Amino acid sequence: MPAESIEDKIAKLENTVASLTQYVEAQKEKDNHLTIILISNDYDKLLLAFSMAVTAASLGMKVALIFTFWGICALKDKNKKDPRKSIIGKLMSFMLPSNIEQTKLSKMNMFGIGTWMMKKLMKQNGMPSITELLQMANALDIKLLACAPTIDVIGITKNELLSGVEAGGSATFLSESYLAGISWVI
Amino acid sequence: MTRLKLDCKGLGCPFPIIKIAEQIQKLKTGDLLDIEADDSACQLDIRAVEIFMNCKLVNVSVEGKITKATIEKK
Repeated sequence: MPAESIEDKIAKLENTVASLTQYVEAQKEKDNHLTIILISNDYDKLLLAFSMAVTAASLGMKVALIFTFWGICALKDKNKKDPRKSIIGKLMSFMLPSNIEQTKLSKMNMFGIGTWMMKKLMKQNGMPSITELLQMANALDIKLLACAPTIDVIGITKNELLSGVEAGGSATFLSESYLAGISWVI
Repeated sequence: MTRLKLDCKGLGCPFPIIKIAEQIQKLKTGDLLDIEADDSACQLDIRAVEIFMNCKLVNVSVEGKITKATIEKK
């Protein structure tokens, strides 16, 4: 068999360099991507998730927020309501926050007094409210994803969620996290 | 080369870094941005402009509650 020519070797090297360059570009893209999965609907945890998301997006990152189980309460549109199909659905709806402003602190809620005081204190300190953070998230094109199976399980329908919210399942969330350099669960 | 000012006093985290990032997007290479904030997080947060936005922190000073910084867009 004839020895490999210089040209062949160069061609191989060029191919390798091209693949490596492609890989590095993909990594750079990934490094600039943040995914947060929210299972909680606690006010403080929502503030954390949205603050991080909005900061990241402002700094140029691509951000996806994924809401599952109780977290989906944050995506409820208070102006949209579908008739309840079952008693359990009605009960769930009644017991859970009907929109993001109705969520409570995870600790020291104290029948609502703690949450009210926290909101007041944060306003005094010039910090955004959760509703403002949600508006900023939309303005910054942050992807909002809901967990399709748990939408039904918490007693509501997709129509009752904010417009622009897409619904997916475990594979969607895994894909988003896989493509992200930073991935958190709150 | 333009030199702009941004007053973030009265704004709480994460507003200051968001406003600063917004301004930086509008700058051209060589432009300078002087910022002032009274939010306690700003002193450390401001370093994000070097990490994420290809800027240089020319100067950072802290006097009591006020953080002042000059940012250069590279």
